Amino acid sequence: MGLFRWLRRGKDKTTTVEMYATTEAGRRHLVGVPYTLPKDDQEISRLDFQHYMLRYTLRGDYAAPIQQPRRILDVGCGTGRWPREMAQIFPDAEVFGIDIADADPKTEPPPPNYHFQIANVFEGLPFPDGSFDFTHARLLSAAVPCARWPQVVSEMMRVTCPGGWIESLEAMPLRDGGPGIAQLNDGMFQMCEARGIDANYGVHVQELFRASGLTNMLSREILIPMGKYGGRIGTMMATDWLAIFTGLRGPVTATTSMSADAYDQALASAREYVNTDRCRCVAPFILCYGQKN
Amino acid sequence: MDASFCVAHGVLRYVLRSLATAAILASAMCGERKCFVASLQVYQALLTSEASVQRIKALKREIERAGGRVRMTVNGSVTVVALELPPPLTPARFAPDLPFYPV
Repeated sequence: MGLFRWLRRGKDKTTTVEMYATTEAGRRHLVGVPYTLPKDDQEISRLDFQHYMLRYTLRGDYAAPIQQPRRILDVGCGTGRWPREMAQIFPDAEVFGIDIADADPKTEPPPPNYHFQIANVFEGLPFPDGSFDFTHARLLSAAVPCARWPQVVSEMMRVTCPGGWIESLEAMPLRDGGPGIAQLNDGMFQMCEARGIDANYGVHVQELFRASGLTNMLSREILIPMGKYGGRIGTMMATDWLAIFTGLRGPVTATTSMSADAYDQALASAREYVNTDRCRCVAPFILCYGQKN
Repeated sequence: MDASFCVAHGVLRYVLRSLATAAILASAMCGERKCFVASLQVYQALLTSEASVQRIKALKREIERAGGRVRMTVNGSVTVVALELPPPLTPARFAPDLPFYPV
């Protein structure tokens, strides 16, 4: 009997399932989700930087014509910068953020009206119907496979109350970025495809919104310059995208035929190109919002 | 010569068969059935809903009967679930709506 108990104990030790895996490049990634980017301190810094850059570039945290929302939800809130700021902008509102991992650096105490909850959106949002009057999601295209997008939009619709607003902001792949960025884009497309993700899916979100019956819709493409020619915004965008490509090195070289050396060369070429005068690279974003009837 | 060869051959066959049976029994007792499966594909999901976790627990026996294996680890509010399934079985066969992805 003792032998069997010992055997069983030994077996239990081997059955631990790791939530994170570290790539050859030393970056920590979540296992068991299609999300392509790392989940480590370096990525937390990049996400915060990206948040401030987008707020500066888009001149605000939201575009929908919300007045005095009482309950706000951010789906896939990452480091929680967006919901924290919304909680400060609307102190009378209760603001909720959900994500599969807590990436909040907790450098400062959260506003009392901000609440974070661990949740996997693919299992459904953990809120009753019509709970929010503003539901927001941003930059989910690196995390949501094409087949899951209708479910995500349907859940956002479900938890939004009649008269409430839904807003999405999605990044599209870089355009006119020279040979280095073209190679990096190719690697990213292949790696995303292997995970069922379409890096160009942002353009289809408005179709899902329309099919869900949203009214008073607005959808527009925002082109942000990337590189030295774009001044301060262009330099910030280049810093963000180069950090994204650095974070994608492990998954791309592990799942595609692109070698680590080829990836590093493409990255170096991209870094050099964005600082030249001939660079006219643009980073497109698709902003879309609408109102639930 | 022929008779002794036949006896030796018979003994050898008996010993080999016994060893194979013992190996199968031992591995079954240890739960190491994967030794007898060509290759198992691993799928993983991060589950945060108690209902999803209960569904996987309820499916465990059915998955094991199909030659698969279920492993679960609780990490804070997340239950990390690994399904090891012999091809061509996929998680869609057992829980099509749960977010399992190949590892």
